[in-house]
Amino acid sequence: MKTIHYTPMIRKIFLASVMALPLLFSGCADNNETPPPDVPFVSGQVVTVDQVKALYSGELAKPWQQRVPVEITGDWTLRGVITASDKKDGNLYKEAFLQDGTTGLRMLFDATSGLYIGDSVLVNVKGLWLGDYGNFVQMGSEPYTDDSGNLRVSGFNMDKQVKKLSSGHVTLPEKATIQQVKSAAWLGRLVKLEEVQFDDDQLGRSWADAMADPPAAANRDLVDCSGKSLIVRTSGYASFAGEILPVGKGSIVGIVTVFNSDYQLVVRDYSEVQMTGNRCGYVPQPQGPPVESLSQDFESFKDNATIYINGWQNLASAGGRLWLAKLFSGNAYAQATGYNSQLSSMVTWLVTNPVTLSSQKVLSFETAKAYWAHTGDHQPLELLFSTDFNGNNLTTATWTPLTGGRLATKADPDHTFIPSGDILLPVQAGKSGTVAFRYSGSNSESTTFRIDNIVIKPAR
Amino acid sequence: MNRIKIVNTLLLCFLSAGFLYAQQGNVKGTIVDKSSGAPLERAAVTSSSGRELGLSAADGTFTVTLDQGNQMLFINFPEYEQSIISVMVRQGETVDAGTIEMMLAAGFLLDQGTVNISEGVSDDGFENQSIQGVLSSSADIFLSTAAYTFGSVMYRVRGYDNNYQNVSLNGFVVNDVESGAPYYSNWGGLNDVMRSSMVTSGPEPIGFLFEPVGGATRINTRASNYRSGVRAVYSLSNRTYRNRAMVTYSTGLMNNNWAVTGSVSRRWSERGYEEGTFYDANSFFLSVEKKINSRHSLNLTALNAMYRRGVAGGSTQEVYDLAGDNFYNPYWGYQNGEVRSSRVRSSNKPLFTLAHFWNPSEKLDIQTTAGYWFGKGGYTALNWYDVLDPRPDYYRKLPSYFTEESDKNQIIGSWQNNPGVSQIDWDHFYFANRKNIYTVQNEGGISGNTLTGNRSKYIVEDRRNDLSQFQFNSRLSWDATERFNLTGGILVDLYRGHNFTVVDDLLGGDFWLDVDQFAERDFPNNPDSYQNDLDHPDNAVGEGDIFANNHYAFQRGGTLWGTARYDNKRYSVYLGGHARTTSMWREGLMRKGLFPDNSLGESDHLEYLTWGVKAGGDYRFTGRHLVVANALITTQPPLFRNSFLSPRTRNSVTPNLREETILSGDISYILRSPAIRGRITGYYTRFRDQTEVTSFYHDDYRTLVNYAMTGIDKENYGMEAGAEVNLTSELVVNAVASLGQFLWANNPDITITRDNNSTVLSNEEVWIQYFRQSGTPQTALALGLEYNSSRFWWAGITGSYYDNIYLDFNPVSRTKDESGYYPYWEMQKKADPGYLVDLFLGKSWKIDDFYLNLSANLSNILNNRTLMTGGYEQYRFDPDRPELFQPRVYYNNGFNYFINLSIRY
Repeated sequence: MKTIHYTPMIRKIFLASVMALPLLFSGCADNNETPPPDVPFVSGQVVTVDQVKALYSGELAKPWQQRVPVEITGDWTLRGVITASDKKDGNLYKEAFLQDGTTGLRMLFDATSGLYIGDSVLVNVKGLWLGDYGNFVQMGSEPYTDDSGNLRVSGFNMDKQVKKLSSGHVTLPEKATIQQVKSAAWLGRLVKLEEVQFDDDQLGRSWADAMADPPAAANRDLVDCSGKSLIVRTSGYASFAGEILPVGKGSIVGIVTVFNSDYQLVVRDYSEVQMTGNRCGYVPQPQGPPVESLSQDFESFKDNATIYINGWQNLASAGGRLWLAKLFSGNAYAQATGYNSQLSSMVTWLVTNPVTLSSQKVLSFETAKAYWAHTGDHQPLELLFSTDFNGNNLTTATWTPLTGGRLATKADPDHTFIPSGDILLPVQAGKSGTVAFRYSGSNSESTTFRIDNIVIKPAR
Repeated sequence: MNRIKIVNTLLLCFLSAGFLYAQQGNVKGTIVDKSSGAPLERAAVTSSSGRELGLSAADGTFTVTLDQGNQMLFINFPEYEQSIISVMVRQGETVDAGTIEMMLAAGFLLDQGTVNISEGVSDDGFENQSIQGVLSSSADIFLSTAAYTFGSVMYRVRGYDNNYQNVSLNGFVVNDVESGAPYYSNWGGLNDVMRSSMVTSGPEPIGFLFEPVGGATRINTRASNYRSGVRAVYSLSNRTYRNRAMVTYSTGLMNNNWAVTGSVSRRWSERGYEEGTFYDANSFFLSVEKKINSRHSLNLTALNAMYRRGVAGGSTQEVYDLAGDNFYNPYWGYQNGEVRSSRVRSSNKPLFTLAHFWNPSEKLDIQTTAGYWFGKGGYTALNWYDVLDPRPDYYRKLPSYFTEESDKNQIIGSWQNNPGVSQIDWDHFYFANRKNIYTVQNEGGISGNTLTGNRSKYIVEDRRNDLSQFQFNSRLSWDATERFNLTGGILVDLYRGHNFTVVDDLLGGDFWLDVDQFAERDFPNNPDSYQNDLDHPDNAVGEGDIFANNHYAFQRGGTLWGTARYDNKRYSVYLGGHARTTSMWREGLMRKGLFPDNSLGESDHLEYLTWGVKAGGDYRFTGRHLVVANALITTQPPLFRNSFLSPRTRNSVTPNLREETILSGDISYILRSPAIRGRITGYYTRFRDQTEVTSFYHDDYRTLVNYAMTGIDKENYGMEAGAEVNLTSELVVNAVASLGQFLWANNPDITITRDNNSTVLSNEEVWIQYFRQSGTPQTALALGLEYNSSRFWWAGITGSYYDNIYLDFNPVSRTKDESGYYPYWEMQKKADPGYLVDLFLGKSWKIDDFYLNLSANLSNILNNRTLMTGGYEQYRFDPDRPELFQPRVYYNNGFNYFINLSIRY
């Protein structure tokens, strides 16, 4: 072994240098976190939505089986305002609608859009694709083949193509009629329909089937007073999907779309549904003058006739089903049931002629039930009382429960009339009041309820 | 020459510790390096009870005094395998033990990256950290092979989870309180000063605390224990890091009775084995000891292993095939042309211990330590809002998501032609963030406070786990009689973990809005519900701000423990026990919108009184044949991280939470003869009432879901065997086998809760009895040949074989659905068996009084890149299209090397 001799000085130098070793080696080994230089958003030639949609008109003219998506090759940019997006109320998913002075366009994204109603945006459309779904033109990214073997445009990356210029631009919806909007020129546009209501047979249903697994979209028929109808389509994931359709008439705002030949309206903001007015053809019902006493045994009605009694009211606040007269073994009575109604909510009222309240009045009647299907502590029939019901203010009048009477219960035998016993009405000098029999049910909570021999008379 | 290198540290605990004070003799010898023949100065000669009897002099010689009779001496020297000699001591005589050659431990390369550090991330971004345990150098052929050969494939001794072992540094227990496991990274890079340790892989007593079923490691850093001199090391590797430089300087015990040892090290690389894994670690160590007099010494140790490193993540086989690489890493991409990692793990946790050593008499040894450990740990991750999941291996970006061949081919083509597809697109994040104008009304809940700016859509967040921990312990060892020793002590520990998330990088945006995205989607019309911090709603946070999650984890405990040992000539027995009180609770620092009444403030305090008893001993038929046995029963509290359903969000305690019970026994036969040394052990362990809580994104419920499995029983049994045969004085053959069955022993109860409300979805059982525990090969075999030349070079080759590697299963598909059946139940997935061949060689020189040592470990020289070491089924699953959520798996590194050059004088 070769031996080398070191002096103490060399040893010290060596020691010092090895101690410094780690510092010498403090080489680059960090994560690169230096921000990259700003890359400007470069827009192309600004064109209109009409011009872009026109690129697809040739395909749209073909039978749908022969259509193929069209790539936008021009260095074009759209400038417009977001009129609907998935960031509001959940009725849209990974999509937003852009509208400019010409028309509106559906944009599909690969994720939640991140765009909000009122955002003013630039959209570079070069490299994007146009396709259609049931004749409705949409803009997305490269086509793919869906489960059914059809070519569809996929969602595009919002961040790569879109620049937000500012937010908070209100685009007023264009006012139009149902008849007007059912045309290709209106597709993709934000409209406001006024003086419209959901059709009678839709009442009591929800906007969509939020309870299904997975939640399911649904079509509901909207009509105007001349009977023209338009589908309102709502996603099962919409925040209002489980709400019951409004019963009144009024205005609704949405985007006009089409599926095959069916024109549709898609609500973008639930707060823009304002349908609280009286329905088409509504004629104020005369309410009878107050009486001292009344008695009704329904014997004058035929089987299945809608109950109509002078001065009384037979009204539906949900579901459109009314109290009907029924005959059994020679006895006639009033009946309400949710059975076979297909309604998710049915509420129907039988309201008496007003009676004077200056002296003590006593109410009595008989009830029977059949096929109990209400769950939990849900009750099919409620007994209510109001002193400010005027025949036209069903939902706004003050209704207080009347207690002390016996109603047929789940435990009672079917079809057997149970006397209510005497129910005292409040005494209020100079005033009159009405009694309401309110049935609440649905297609599933379908218990049948019957009333007979309603009597209001002075206390002895 | 009466030299026997005994193969088992187990022995350390059982062999005679009697001290015949009246009847003593001397033993002398010379300690040399086996490779170079150089004498080793300051090698510690200790008795079987761990008492230091003396140190070797500069020429390697030593003389110690001990009791007459057949005695064991343990020679410890940093970086070297422990040598154990057996001598017959005669009263008044001096026995010459001759020249004791010490082998450089394979373990001096411990921090070389053989120990595979692999971390997985489940689909929802919750990381499962699995770090190989703290196996250290050991004279036991089985354990050293387990550490250095099996270590690379995530082997766990006897299949035990890492939290069933305990590591203490000068009496300070460094296991992570919340997860229970000791993390090697907490003292990484300080290898040269961590070698003086006592290790056991089972419950045998090593004189500190109640050693858990998975064993204990006692690291001792007394400055006077290091030999004086300088040692410098440079290592070159392609494993976790490329470069390592370490310098250690020690004064030894100086004439003024002070001793100082310092060590600094730096480990760094631009990339580790996988792409996108930078490494930047600086470690510091200082130990100062003052010998006050012959009875008292004080030692102060300070250390910090700081690091920042890019982590590699596992992906699915589909992605590996797409990338053409089983070591594809989805966590990185280019930013402005340079590599950037999205998952950076970092740590800066200084530890201080002050120890007092006191020997009131020859028979009594008292050591008292107070320690404080604090600092921060972080793990970054991407977070995003209103964009497609930006991770390149997100399932919707993969061919399997598409049903049409042409679409699949398009994706495959883009992976082949455009490397950017497989990476994170940092530049795009900046582009998107810099133009996303957004207005926050009433920002921070302050009416009229309107903020308009670029709302970041992508950020890097840092998930912090900071700690502040104080420990105090005192340990007493008393030789009551010549054959009877009592050792015991107390430990008090106070822990506060601070878990929170901060914005690490806004990536070009102006702010991040602190809302819960899942809740926002579920309850769009209830803005309160989706506030992460209801007291500061719509909070726009900037870099360094806390958001999303902020809570303390508290744990306080006190332990009393003791061991009694009786040694006889033929046998020894011990009896040990402990009792511990533990109190833990969560304290929320944010009022979360979904849980306004159950997120802020303190949770219930969970109180536990746990205990344990162990007994064991050995019997020596002759000096060459002995039998050792241990038995243990103990209870322990559930881990903090399993005690709360969703500690990130609320104070709810895991239902049916109870303490766990462990029953264990093992028996070994040990043979030691000049030509053959070996051990064979059979063991059986039963874990009862374990608890595991996991959170993940549930596709059906469209929210985060917490799965709390309780009442888990596990069973680990099997045999381990190791033998070393000297063919010639230079040629050694060794063989090792581990054959285990690590089972889930029952169908545990499961409670499923959603993170978006507090209702319990279901209380079921998970149908997994006799599933296998994952993450370790249950069969591991190795055969090696070692040549040690008398001309100071050595070489060896080891072949190893692994089988019964199981993937972690998804409990969702093994739980009843609404129909009351198990429609998605399937067998557990298993990796293919595989083998590895490793080579090591080295040479040492002595030039004047400098010692040079050059060695190379060449692992997996056949470049087997298909040995799967583990993985897990994703919790997200689609019964109709199982291909969408394939298991994420890990592979053992292909050919890799670790070259080490050290200079010492």
